[in-house]
Amino acid sequence: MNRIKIKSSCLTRIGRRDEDLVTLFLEALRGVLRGTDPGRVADVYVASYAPSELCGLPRPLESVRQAIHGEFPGLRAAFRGIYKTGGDALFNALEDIDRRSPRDSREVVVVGAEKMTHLPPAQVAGFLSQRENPHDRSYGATLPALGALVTRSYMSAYDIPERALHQVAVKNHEHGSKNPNAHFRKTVTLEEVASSPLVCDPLRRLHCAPTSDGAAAVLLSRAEGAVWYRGWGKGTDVPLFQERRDISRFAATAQAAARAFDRAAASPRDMDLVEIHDAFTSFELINLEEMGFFPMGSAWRELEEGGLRINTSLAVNPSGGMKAKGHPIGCTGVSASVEIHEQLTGGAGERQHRGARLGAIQSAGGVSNESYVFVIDAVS
Amino acid sequence: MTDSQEFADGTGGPQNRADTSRLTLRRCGNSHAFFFAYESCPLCGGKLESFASSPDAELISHTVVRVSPTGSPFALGLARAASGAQTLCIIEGELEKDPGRNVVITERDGLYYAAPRKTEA
Repeated sequence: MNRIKIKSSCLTRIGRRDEDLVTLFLEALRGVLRGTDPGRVADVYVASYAPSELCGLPRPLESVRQAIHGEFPGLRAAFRGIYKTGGDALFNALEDIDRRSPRDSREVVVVGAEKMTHLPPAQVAGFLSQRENPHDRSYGATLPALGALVTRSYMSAYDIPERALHQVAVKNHEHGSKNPNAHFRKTVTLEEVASSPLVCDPLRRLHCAPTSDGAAAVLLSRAEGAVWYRGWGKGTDVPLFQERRDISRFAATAQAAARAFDRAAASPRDMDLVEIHDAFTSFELINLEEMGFFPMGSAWRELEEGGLRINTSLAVNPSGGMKAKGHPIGCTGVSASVEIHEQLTGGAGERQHRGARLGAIQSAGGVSNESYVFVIDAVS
Repeated sequence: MTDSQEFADGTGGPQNRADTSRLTLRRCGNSHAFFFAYESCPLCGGKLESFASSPDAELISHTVVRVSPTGSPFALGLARAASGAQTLCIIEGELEKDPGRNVVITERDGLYYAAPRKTEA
C-alpha cells in the first residue's frame, strides 16, 4: 500500500494535430480514466510550458479545469499547476502523495500537453525563449543556441566526433519507427543527418527534437497498478546559464540521478531501459553520463559498438525519444512514464524491450536548469 | 571606479587609463566575479563590489544562430575573463570564421560584444 503505482497511462498521437490544446488534454484524460471512477481522483496535476504564449489562453488552468469538469462531471478534484514541464508536475505529485497517509486510497492524475505546430518554428523559438531567462533572451539566445554552446563545449572537452551526434538521431528514429504514436515514424541515415541544415552549429536540424502537439497522462494509485515509482529526485543548476563553471556538464542531472537512485536503492547498472532528455542529440549522451551509466565522454562508444538500442543490455529512448517521438514540451516528462509503463507491462508492441523489469526516466527543463529522475519498477 | 584603482584580476589591464574598452565587473570577498549586475553574490550571498577588469577574455564556446526569432543569423559566444567572470556575448566579425579563443570584450547598450584579439606584429 505504500508504493505509488501507475494504475493506467495514456499517450495521444504526437505530431501535427488539428485539435486545440484543451482538446488534447481531454484526449489524454479520456484514455487514462477509461474504466475507472473519476470520483476517486483527488488531484489533477497539469503541465504545459507556454499555453498563454503559444495558444493565447489567458487563464490556462481554468480553461483546462472547466473542460475536464464538462466531460467528467463526477471528477471533483483539486487542480494543481500549471507546471512548465511534465517532469516537474510528476515530481510534485509524487512528493505530495508521499506525504499523505499510506492508507489514503485517493487517486491522482498527472497530465501534460502542448500545442506548438500551428506557429512557424522561429516564432515558437521566440515564445519559448520568453519563458526562459530574460538575460539570455536579450542576447537572442534561444534554447537551440544555448544547446549549441553546450554541444561544442562537450565535443571539445571529450573529443566527441560529430558522427556521434548523428548516430543518436539514427538510433532514435529507428526506435520511433516502431512507435505508432511517434511524430516521426521514418528512419534516417547517417548521411541524411550529416547533410541536414545547420540550425545553430554544430547542431543540425536532425540533431534537434521537433516542435510537436500532443498530450500524455498517468493515473497514480496506492491501491492498484502493475508498476511503481521506486525512486525520484530533482536537481538544479545556477539560475543564469552564463554562470555555469563547466557548460559541458549537466550538474542538475547528476544531482537528480544520485537522489533518485539512492531513494530506489538501485544503480544505473540495474536498469534495463531509460527514457532520457534528448532535445538535442548531444544531450542524450551528456545526460546518460551524468546519470552514471557511462564515464563522461564515453557513451558514444557504446552506441558506436551497437549498444543503447532495443534488446541490447540497455535500451535508451525506446520510444524514439524527443527526437523521433516528438517534443510537446509539457507532455514529454509524462509521456516518458507512459513508455516505461508500457515496456514493464509488456505492452510496447514492436518496440518491446525483452526482459524489461526496471526502468529510469530523466526529464529536464530549459538547458538542464532543472532535472528530474524517476526509477520505475515492476510490482512483484 | 576611479583612475587610481588597480586592475586586480591579474591581467594588468589596458595601459591607457583613458581607454574606454576597460570593463567594470563585480566581485565578492570570496573572489566570485560576475559581469551580471547582481545585488549580492549568487554563489555565497556576499556583498559585491565593482572592480576594473581588462577586456581580454577567453571564448569558451560559440555558435552561429542561423534560425533566430529576428530572422538574421548572428554569432553567439560564452566568454570568460581572467577573474573567472563569464558572459554571453555577441561575436563581431565574419560569421563563418572560427573566432579563436582570445577575444576582447566591449559593452554597448547593456550587452557584451566579443571581437578576436589583435596580436601585435
